[in-house]
Amino acid sequence: MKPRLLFVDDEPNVLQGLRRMLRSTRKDWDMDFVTGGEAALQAMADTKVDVVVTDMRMPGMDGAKLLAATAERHPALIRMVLSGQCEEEATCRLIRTSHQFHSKPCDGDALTGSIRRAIALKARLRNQHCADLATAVQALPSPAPLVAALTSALAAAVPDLTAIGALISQDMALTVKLLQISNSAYFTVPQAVVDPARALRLIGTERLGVLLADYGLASGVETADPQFDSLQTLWRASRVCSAVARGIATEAKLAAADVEQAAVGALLHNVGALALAQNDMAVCAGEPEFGAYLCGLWGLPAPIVDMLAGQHEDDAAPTPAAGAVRIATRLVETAGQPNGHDPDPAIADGALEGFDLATRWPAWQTQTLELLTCQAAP
Amino acid sequence: MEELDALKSKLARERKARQQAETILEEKSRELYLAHRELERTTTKLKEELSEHQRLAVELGEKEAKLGRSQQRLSSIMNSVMDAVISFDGDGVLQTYNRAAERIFGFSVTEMIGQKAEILLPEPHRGDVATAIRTYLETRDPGLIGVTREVEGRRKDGSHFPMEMAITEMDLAESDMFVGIYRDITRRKERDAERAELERELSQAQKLESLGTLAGGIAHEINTPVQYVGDNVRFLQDAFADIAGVLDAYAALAAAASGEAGLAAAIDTAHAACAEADTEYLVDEVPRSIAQTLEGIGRISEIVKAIKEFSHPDGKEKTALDINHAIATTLTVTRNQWKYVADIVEDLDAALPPVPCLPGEFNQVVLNLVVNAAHAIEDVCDEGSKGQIAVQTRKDGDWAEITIADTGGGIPQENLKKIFDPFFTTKEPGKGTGQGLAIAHTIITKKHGGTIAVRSRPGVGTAFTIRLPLADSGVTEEAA
Repeated sequence: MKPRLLFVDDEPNVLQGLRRMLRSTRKDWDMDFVTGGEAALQAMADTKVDVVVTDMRMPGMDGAKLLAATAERHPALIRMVLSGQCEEEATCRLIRTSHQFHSKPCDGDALTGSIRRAIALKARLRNQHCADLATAVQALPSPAPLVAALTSALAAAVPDLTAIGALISQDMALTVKLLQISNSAYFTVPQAVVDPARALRLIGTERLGVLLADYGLASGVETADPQFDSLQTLWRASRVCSAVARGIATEAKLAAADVEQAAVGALLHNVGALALAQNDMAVCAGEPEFGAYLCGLWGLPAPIVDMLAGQHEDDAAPTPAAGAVRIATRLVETAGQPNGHDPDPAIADGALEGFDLATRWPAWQTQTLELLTCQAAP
Repeated sequence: MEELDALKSKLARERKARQQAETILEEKSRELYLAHRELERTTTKLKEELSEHQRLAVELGEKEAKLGRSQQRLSSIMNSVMDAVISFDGDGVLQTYNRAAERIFGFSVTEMIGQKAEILLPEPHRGDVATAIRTYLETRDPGLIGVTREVEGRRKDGSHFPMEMAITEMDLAESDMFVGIYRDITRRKERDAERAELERELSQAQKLESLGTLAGGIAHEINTPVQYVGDNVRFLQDAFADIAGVLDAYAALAAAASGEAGLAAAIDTAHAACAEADTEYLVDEVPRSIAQTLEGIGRISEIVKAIKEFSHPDGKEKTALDINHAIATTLTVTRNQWKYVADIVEDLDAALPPVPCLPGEFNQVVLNLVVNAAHAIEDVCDEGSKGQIAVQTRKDGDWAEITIADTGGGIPQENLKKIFDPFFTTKEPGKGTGQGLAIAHTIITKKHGGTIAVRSRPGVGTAFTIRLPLADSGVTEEAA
């Protein structure tokens, strides 16, 4: 069955233009075009819709309200915004309920490309129920003490960007959310941002403070929460993996951008598990592509999504950054296991030659284990 | 006996002499008494006169002292006033010159007494006062006399400064004397200039604020047609590729038809190409797509034109403005601010003659009122329902009247008097400088000699009425 797309705009000319522009996709997608929020909700109630693309400013129910209602009634929908102008407050309300934001005027290929990518990643999931769960995720869990530290750092008269950037880049939930916002046109011209510190500068500390305080950007889990300990294991693995990947990439003399990409890719290597742990979705535990789908859905840059999608398969030619991530991930996964001092055969293929795997493996192993042991709770 | 007689006669004589002597004595004594009495009387009188003189002398001394004190006080007053006070005769020759005058002009009293007062004025104006006084003395035409006016003053060092000058005639019987009072207004001028600068900056800030609000709205207004124009052109690109495929197939068909070889196959190919391209759809859709593209381009052009007209450069001079057209322009550029909350009901008097206006400033006023109206409605209107902004123009005698009325929540009575005050706003911080209506008021009343009034009923709405004179009253910023 073809995916069904629903386009919502109060301007009939825009809808007709979209319909014509998207004519070449008619073999792949079924498309409906409606002129308002109420009509859109009706259409979703009548037929199963997979993707909704809505304008923001519309008389009556605006795009933010429509997506809030959609997230509640039809959480399995992929929710995108296509808007020309949007008030700051309305955009803030979209932070949890929308997946991507495209700004008008929008290049047709950019819009269809991002829809295609999301649909393709979804198709790779074995269990479609898991795909529906991924669209329902609005924020990922972060340790409450880290969120508190971030909030107070942001409240400073002159916020310390370096310290704030360091806090964010320790936390995969905040990193992924900041990358979602800065890679889409929510507040700024979208850019392919990988570095959370750069995402922070694009979003701005003042706005970040508002998003944290009033719009549920972060979902802090208190230390007293029964889930805290199991989440802590994931957070720690994520931080250590990022540090190890950064070290490996630096050692291999990768370009600065690639080192950053490796660090972020490694930080997010278990983002799928984090989403599943929070949402009690044990059914999807066997879905290795869950994290990739989530990041693709949220519009993260392709290299990161590809890294997450490829990390569990034998990729013939991973990028150097992806190679570092793959090694770091394996090191974290096998840390403490009595497998001698040989590199894991699962990753010891020729593609990773540049990393001097055979010689360095034991040292990396020790280092990883040390990091895992000494990493205190943030 | 004779002796006796002699004695008797002697006695008689002596008696007689004695009597005479006694009489004389008595007379003399009496004279003496009278003389003494006279003397006593004279003495008393003299004494009295003497004490009167003494009293008068004391009195005179007192009066003299009092006069001295009074003179001292007067001179002290003259020397403590901040303004220069000088007096001069009908020929302009200086008689008195106070300390403030020394300070203000830099000349000392000794330098000035006997000089002509006119040296306190710079060169081209020196004759003015002398001429005015001569005219006054000859014709009693007051001219400069008795009027306060701003003139240039000249200091001893030759520098000029702004001052206020008032010359009055002194009320003296014996000669023509004049008093001149001069006030150095350099500081006041500076403060006035600072205030004017501040007002200009505020007005500029408000203008920037309105333009900032507009910019976002205009971007959206333009984005929408740009979006569908772009989509339509992309469609046309695809459509042409499809049509080109059909044309190729028909060309092949034509070639086959001429050679009759493979005709049936060519016909099938052509049909397939038509089906693939969905030519029926394209034949319907391509012209529609072109029409909408042109319509979108038209909309963009209209908005761009309106922006150009709206942001009319601010001239100092008024031009005859078609108010109706200016309002329509402002409604176009603000469309994004009101279209989601209100419908506009226009009632523009086509017979309204052009009004002498500063177009940029007038547009700013209309913009402020329309945006305020939209905000007022936005605050009260429910989701999906729209309010109304009624815009009316009409000619009322020698006046053009513009009314902008909304169906918003109205303004509470206690705020109604304050709405034209600078910085008065009920909007939350960051939602406006509170300058919009204050500046609208200044623009309409001071720069156009018009009026702006407000009527409001809570729960019903608010109406602003602007009245502009159709004849240019010549009231400008400078004169106001």
